Amino acid sequence: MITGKPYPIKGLIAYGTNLFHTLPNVPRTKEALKNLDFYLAVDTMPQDHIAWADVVLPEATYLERYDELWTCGHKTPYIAMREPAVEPYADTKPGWWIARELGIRLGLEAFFPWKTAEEYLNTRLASIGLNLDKLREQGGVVIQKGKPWLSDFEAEKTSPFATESGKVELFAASLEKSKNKPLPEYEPTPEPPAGFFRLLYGRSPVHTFSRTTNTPILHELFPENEVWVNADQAAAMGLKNGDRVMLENQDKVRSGPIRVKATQRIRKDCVFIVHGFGHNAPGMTRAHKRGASDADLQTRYVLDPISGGAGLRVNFVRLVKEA
Amino acid sequence: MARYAMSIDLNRCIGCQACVVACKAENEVPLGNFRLRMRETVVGKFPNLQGEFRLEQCFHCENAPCVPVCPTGATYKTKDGIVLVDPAKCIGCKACVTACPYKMRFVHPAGHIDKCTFCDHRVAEGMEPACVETCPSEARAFGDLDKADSPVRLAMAKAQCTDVLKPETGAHPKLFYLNSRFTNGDTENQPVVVISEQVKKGE
Repeated sequence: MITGKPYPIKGLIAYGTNLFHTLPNVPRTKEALKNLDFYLAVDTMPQDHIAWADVVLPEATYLERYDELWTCGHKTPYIAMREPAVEPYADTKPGWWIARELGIRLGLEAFFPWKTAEEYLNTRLASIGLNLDKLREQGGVVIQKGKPWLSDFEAEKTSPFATESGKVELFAASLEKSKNKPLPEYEPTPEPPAGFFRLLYGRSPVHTFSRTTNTPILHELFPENEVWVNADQAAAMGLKNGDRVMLENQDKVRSGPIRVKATQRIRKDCVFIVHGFGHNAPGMTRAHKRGASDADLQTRYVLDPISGGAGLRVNFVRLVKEA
Repeated sequence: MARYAMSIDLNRCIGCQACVVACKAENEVPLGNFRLRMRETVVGKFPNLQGEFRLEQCFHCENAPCVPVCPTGATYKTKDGIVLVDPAKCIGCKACVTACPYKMRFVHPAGHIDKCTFCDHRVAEGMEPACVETCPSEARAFGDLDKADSPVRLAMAKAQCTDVLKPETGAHPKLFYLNSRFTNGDTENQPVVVISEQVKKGE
C-alpha cells in the first residue's frame, strides 16, 4: 500500500479488524491508509479506524446474527452453530447480509444463491442429514468420537506434514538449501537502554482483544489496564500502586496515563500491559482514553526471515511521572 | 430438604471472573455492584512465587450471623439452607451488612439489601447456579451436602485439602475452597488485592 509494489492497492475493506490496535507501528498504518482511494470499515464498535473510513457499515454483534458453521477436525471433530439470541440493535446488519447485498450491487448475485442465512446453513447441514432445527435440539453442536489424528493419514498412506521427510522436522534440510539455518539458533535481542524497560503485552481473561473494553459489565470489572512494574523496582523509583505515569518509548511516542501495578509477578527489566486499551475514539464512550495502548508504543518490530512472524517485544519504554 | 453448598477448586480457578459476569447477567445486578468478588493473592519474591484466586460470595452459613440480627425477618434461611433476603420486608437498616463476617452484602439501589442467592430460582428448576454452569475450567461444584453423590461432595472427596474462610467465627460457611496452596487456606495475613476495590479506584 505504501510502495505500490508488486502492484498498487487502491481499496481496502477491513472486517472486524481495528487496524490501529491489531497492527504495530500505527504511524505506518496511517501512511498506508492515506494512499488508498477507498477504505470501507465493517465493525461492531465505533473504534479508532472507523474515523478513517470513506464508508462505515455497522455490523450486528455475535449475539444478534447467524454466522458460518464452526467446524473442527482433528482428534475430537465437531460442528457448532451460532444463532441470534436477540434482534440486531438499531440499523446494524449481520456480516453475511452485508456481504450478500454488496455482492448483488456489484452484479455478483449468481454467487449468492441463498436468500437467508438459515437457507444457506440448512443447505450445508443437509450433507450430514441435519438441519438447523435438529442441530438446535441437540444443543447446537455435533461432536464425533475422536481418533488419533494420524490414523486417517496412515490408512491413506499420506502425511499431514508438508515436509520432505513427511515427519515433524526439527532439522529441516529444505531450509539449508534456501541458505537459512536448518536448526533454529537463539539470537539474543537488544537489551533495554538505561532507564528503559522491555515492553511486554498480553491478555486479560476478562477482555477479548480491543473490542470488549467498552462493554458495560466487562468495563466495570476491568476498566483500564495497568503497567506491571516489579515491586522492588517500583519502590526504588519511588512509585507505588495506583500512581499514574505516561509510557514513553525509544522513539519518544507516548501513551497513557496508566496506573502502576507494583507486583512481584514480573522481572525487573520488563514492564507488562494488557492489550486492547488506550482507545482514542470518542465513540468508545467508556474505554475512551483509559489506560495505554501497546500498539501505539510498538513503533518497531522484527520479522522472522523464515516464517514472516512479527516479533513485537523489541520496544522499550520509560515511565514518566505525571506532573 | 437439602443442605445446598458450593465448592471452588483453587487449582482449577484461572481468575477469569466469568462467574462474576454470569452472576451479573443472570441476576440483573445493577452496574456498580457485585454479588461475587475476586481476591488475588501473591506471596513470595520473583521468581519464587505462589498465588491463587479466591472468588467470594455469600457463604450461606449454617449459623448465619445475618439472620438473627434482622429486625423484620427479611433475611431468612430456606428449608434447603439457602440464605435469602425478602426485598418486600427489608427496610435497608444494614444490621445484616454489619453482622456478615465476610462483608458480602450491599445496598441495592432500590433500597433493600442484596447478595448471592445461590441462584435459588435456577436451583428450583433443577439447574445449577449461573456461576457454576458458566465456569470454563469447571472449578465450581454445587449440590446437597447430605448426599454423598452430589457434585459438591464428589469434588470435596477428591480434594487434597478443604478450607473455609474465617472458621473462627463459628458461622460454618457452606462455600468450600479446595486444594489451596496456603496452609489452612489462611490468606488473611497475606498481601491481597481486592479486585472490586480496584474497580472503584479506577473511577
